[in-house]
Parts: sequence; C-alpha cells; structure tokens
Amino acid sequence: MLKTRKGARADVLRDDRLPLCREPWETCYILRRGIIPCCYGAAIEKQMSNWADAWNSAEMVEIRRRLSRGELSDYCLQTLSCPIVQRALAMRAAQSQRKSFVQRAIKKLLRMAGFSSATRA
Amino acid sequence: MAEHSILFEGGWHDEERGDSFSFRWMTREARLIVKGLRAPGTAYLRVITDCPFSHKKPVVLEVLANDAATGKRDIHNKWTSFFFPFPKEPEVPFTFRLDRTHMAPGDTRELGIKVRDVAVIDISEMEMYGEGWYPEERMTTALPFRWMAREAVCFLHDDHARSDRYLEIRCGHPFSSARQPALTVAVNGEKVGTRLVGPGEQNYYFPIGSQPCDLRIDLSLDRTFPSSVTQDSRQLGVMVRDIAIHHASEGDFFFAEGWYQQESSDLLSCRWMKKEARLLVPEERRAGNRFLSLWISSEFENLSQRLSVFVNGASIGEIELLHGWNYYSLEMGPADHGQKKHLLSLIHPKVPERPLPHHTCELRLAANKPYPARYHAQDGRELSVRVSEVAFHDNEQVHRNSQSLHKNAILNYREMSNGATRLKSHPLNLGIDLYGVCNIKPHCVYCIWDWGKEMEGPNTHAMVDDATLKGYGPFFQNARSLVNCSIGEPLLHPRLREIVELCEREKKILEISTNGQALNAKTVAVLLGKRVTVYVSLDAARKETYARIRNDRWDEIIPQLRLLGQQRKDHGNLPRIFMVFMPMRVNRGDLEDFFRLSRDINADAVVLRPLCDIGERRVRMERSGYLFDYEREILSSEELAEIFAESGMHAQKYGVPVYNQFHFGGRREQSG
Repeated sequence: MLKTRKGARADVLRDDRLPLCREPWETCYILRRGIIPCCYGAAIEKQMSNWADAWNSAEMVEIRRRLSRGELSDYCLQTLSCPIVQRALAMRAAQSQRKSFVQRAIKKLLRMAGFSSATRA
Repeated sequence: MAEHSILFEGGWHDEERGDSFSFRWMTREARLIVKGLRAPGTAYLRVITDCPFSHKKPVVLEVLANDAATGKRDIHNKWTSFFFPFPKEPEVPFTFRLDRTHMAPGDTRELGIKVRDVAVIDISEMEMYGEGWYPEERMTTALPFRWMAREAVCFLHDDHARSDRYLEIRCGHPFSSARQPALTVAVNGEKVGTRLVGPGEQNYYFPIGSQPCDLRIDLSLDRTFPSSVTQDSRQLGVMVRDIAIHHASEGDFFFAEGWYQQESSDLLSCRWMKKEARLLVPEERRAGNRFLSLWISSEFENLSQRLSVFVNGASIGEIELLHGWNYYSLEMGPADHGQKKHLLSLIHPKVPERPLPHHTCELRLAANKPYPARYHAQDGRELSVRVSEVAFHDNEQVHRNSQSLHKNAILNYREMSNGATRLKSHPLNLGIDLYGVCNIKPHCVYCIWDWGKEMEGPNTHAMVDDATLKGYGPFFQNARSLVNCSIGEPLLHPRLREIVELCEREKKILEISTNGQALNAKTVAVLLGKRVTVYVSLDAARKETYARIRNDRWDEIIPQLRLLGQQRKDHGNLPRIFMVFMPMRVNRGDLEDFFRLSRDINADAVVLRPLCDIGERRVRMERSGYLFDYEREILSSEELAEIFAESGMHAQKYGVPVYNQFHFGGRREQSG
C-alpha cells in the first residue's frame, strides 16, 4: 500500500502537484457579463467577444501562476463565494490561531523558567 | 420417437438377465440396424454401457453409422449413457468396434462391453444433460448444480433461430488456489469458444448465431481438479448451475462476461465493468462502419487508467482515459465479415486463433487497473470503469473531433500539472450564456438581477445560439461540456432545439439551470433522450415556501416535472434531472420533503448549492408575506453541517443521491 510521509494513504486517483483550483485551466466562461475564469468569480474582460485573448491574458496567467504554487491570487481572494477560497481562508485562520497559541505558550514557559526579554537583554 | 425397430446382427452374445435389467455382451465388433424411421429429425442413438474390465484403462468404443465414424467413447466400469448422432435416413446400419476384449475365468466367450437399452431418441425428447455429468447436488439452500467431468454433453432445443442468440453457461468452482481450467464449447460439432473458468460462479457466453433449433452442446475442459484439491474421489471439472439460450435484444451489443447490471449514474445509464469484459454483436451490425464509439467514465483524475480495446482479437487502440464521462471514437479497420482469423477467446490469451463462428463480432475491453476498492468500500464489487452507448459509426468528422478533444484534454492536463500558465490547450468546459431574459418577474428573491443586468450592459440582448457556439471554434470543438451560466431562463431560447441538437450531434454534455417554469410539452420534447443535465432550481418542497422565493406557479411546475421524469424513462433516462436546493432560512423546514418530492418525480439527484456571498450588496425583498433578507438567510457553518448530515440520511431513506456543491474543489474521501 502506498503511504505518504505523514502515514496517510496516497491518493492514487489524482496528482499531488495539481493547482489549488483547476478552473482557470479547465474552464472558460464566455458570459454576457464578460469573460470569467471561474464559476464564482467576476469578469476579467468585459467584452464577451474577446474570449480568445482572455484565455491567456495577463490576469489569467497571474491567476494560474499563483494557484499552481498552491496560493490564492488576489483575484481569488476577492471571490469570497468560492468554497475553495473559503476553505483556504478558514485553514489560514486556524493556522494563525495555532501559531499565536504556540507563541503564547512558549512565552509563558520562558517566563516561568525565569527568562524574559529584559533578562535576555 | 416414431415407430422403429432395432435389429441386433452379428457380434452380439445372447441377451442375459442382470440384477434389474437385461443386457448383451458385445464381442470386438458388432452390428445393428435401425429400421422404419419415417422422416427422422435431429436424433441420437443412445447406448447404455458398462465394462467390468476397465478398472485400470477404459475400453474404447468406436461407433460407425453407414460405415462413417460418428464418435469414440471411453467405456468405464460404470453404467453410462452415450449419445451418437443419428443420420437422417429411414434405415441406418451401425457398427460398434472395441479396441480390446477380455476372457473371463470360466467363460469361453470373447467379452467386450455390456450393452443395454439401445434406443433412438429425438433431441426434443431428450434429457438436457447427457454424458459426462454427475448427479445433481445442492449446497445448503443454494440452487442445485452438477459437477462436470472432463468432457460432457448436453442438449437444448430452441424455437427462435436468429443471429443474436448466445449460449449462457453459469458455472464456476470453489478452488481459488488451483490452476483455472479452460472450458471449450462446441455447438453441433463446431467450436464456439474457450473461456478460463475462474473461482466463484459467473455466466460465460458463447455465440451460437442462427444454428438449427436442436443443439448438441459439447463441453470439454483442459484439466480437472486433482483429488488432493477436491477431497473427492470423482474426476471433478467445474460446477455447472445452468445452461440456457440467451436471446439478446435484436441488433444490440450484448454485454457478455465482465459486466454488472445496468444502473444509473450522474450522466448516463451505464454498466460497471470488471477489469476485463467482452461484448458480442452480430457482425452485420459492423458492416460499413469504420469506427467504434463508446462513452466511458473513469474515476482516475490523473490519466493513469487506460483501456485497451480489441475487435475480434485485433487491438484497435489503448485509450488514455480522461476523468468522468467522455466520448471516445476508435478506428477499427475494415470489417472482414467473419472470414479472417480471430482470436477465439480473448479472455484467455493462450487459446489459439480460430475463426469466430456465426459472424459474431467480439469486442474485448481491458483496463490496466481497477478502481481501487478503498474508494468504494460500501460496494464490494470488482470495478474498473463505467461504459455506456457502445456503437459502430461511420462519421469521419465526429471521429476526428473526438480525437482532437481527447488530445487537447491530455495536453490541458499535462500543462496544468506542470504548472504552465500560458496554455496551448483549450478549455475542457465552456461556460456559456444562452439567454438573458427571464420569465419570473419580479425576479427570484435571492437573484441579483439588477446587478447582473448592469454588468451585462448591451450584451443582455446579444444573440447566443448554435451558430455562436460553433463560432467559438476550437473552444467549442474541444469542450466536452457546455455549462449554461446565464442570468436568464435558457428554456425560453427561441433556438433551444437547435442548440440541444448541436450538442447531441457533437457529443457535448450540456448543463442548464432552469427555474422549470418553461417546461411544457414543447421543451420537454426537445430535452427527451438528450445528454443534458437539467438543474431545476426549486429550493422548496411546498407551495408556500416556493411562493416566498419565486411565485405562485407551484401547481403548474410540479406536473411538468413529473411529466419529464416519467417520459424520459422511455428515452434512456435522459435528460438527467438534478433538483437544486439552496439551503436558506426560508426553506430550512423543507429538506426532507424535498428529497421525497425528488424521488416522486423520478429525479436523479438532489444538489445542495450554496447561496453566494454577495459582498457589500444588500438584498431585501418582501414576497408572499415573507421578508427575505439575503444576509440573514445565509446559514452558519454549524447549521449547514446539520443540513449536510440530514441530507445524507434523507438520501438513504428516499434513494436519491445528494451532490454537495459546497464541497467544490474538495478531495474524494477514501474509506478505511
């Protein structure tokens, strides 16, 4: 059985190196309200006739670049309806909470051990 | 059988009285004549014999009719019935010849074998199971079966001589660790196939075409299981539960080995395939067609699952399978109408090449790997891919388009997984905007209509029709699905029929969201039998709730939905009907009734769709005495979790699957 480093079973149905969201690669929305890279987003190009150019426009390239690095683009961060964005933001908030909890705990331990910023100084 | 007489001539000793019946000893060669048969049909000479000298080695009996050999049999020390073909003549002399004889102590006669009850039997009057079978057995409460020895014969009569008949043999064995026997079947003397018989029990199919109605089926195995394996002193081959003639639907592909029953899916009615499977079809169906097409759904998203396709033993390609439902077309090469050499059995690669009988075309599909069991733990079957709509065709353009689409999809995947940002490939799915006008006025309470129309500007009234779609060039050609995302009602489109037919012709999957209020006899007729997924935005299970969200047309829309659900049963359950429920405060009490309603109208699934975050915009609207405040209607994550759990239970209870769009972009669960 394939195992990942964390001990979980590898997902053999898909590649791990896929972007955070596949929409900007797989789908193009040619709508009356413009050309849209994802089903939850706003138009990146207002003219619905410019679909061919919009497909590899600077905005699309930037969205793909960030997503392929596992990051949310500025465009994504404005698309709060998207469940992927919601999950990513929720995870980020939880990580941030965990991080501040750990920092607080370390500070407390250091204080208890007699270390403080003053003593270190 | 009609009146006839059997005259024992030279080579027989006088009749003797046994314990319970009479018999005659035969010398090395003996003759008898059958006389007086008027217009004999398909018949056999049945001879019941025994040889007490066959402990170590059986005596071999050869039978000649009209001096022509009709068969050889090993005669053991056990009374056994043997059947020899009876020529269609009113008078037939038979010669019985043995390979050796014996002398018994105290008996001066030359003794060969004991023969009793020689008779001519018409096939229609015969017992189905002839030679080579052990008596019927039964294991606990299961259906009875009988063990077959190394060779066995049975007789069937079928009144329907047509080309798409198949011999169905349900058999198997319980010895999974032993080498599997290969079962060869001959019908009326002509070999029709060989199959490896695996452990467990399954149906094996053999084409028998339009053979005469009286069938003699000869079964032979390349090996029997040794006593050390069976713990039984008998020579055991395979357990046979049933042998029957299966009549396929006239002209259709017949799903032979390796398939499960037809079932519903998210798009097409289909069958799950085991790792390997076969289809049979009369060869005349293939005539004039250069291509084989089929819809396949793979669960693998990483293109690592492949399907090899063989027609009459010759490989016509290996498909790199795309995820989900996709249309594939493969070039077959010229049809040979059964004259060329084919692999007789494709399930068993070691079987030598032989022509397939009766002009039957055989397709074999073999997946390189199964759909891993841990992703479908609740379904213990061996699964690989789902297959639907297998057909021959001769449309070069459709074939080329499918090739182009497939090539583009693979390139798209490679570009995506390699992190390419400027793409050479085109999108796999096209979001389209068919119609900018709606029939619900004032608009639905959660619809941001005014904002949408402002965004659209002059485009609101731009024509988007079949010509527009074709005008998207490679974006249209390479798209496998078209998803309508208009702020408007697509069923009102004046060229709806042309659009749906274009998608059907070009093998595109069309998805439309509709409020359902434009469903009528005309629009239902357009949709019936088409690969369209209709998302019906209902959001309510009661007239009162519906009125608070939309209007008072509940009593009109439900009968139309029922009509669509009913009529599509005769059209391959197409279009697909997905009932959309956006969980909100206004419909919080409708969830279970929504599943019940979905079941009642024969819908395929309930779709939970999120109410979008609309940012700073404030939407407040009074409808039917209810103040719809958009912000207040959005449920908390805890409330949504409750709804998801309840939906799972209702889906089970009402037998309607639930698709949760809140999980968009999420990973598939593995069990265990």
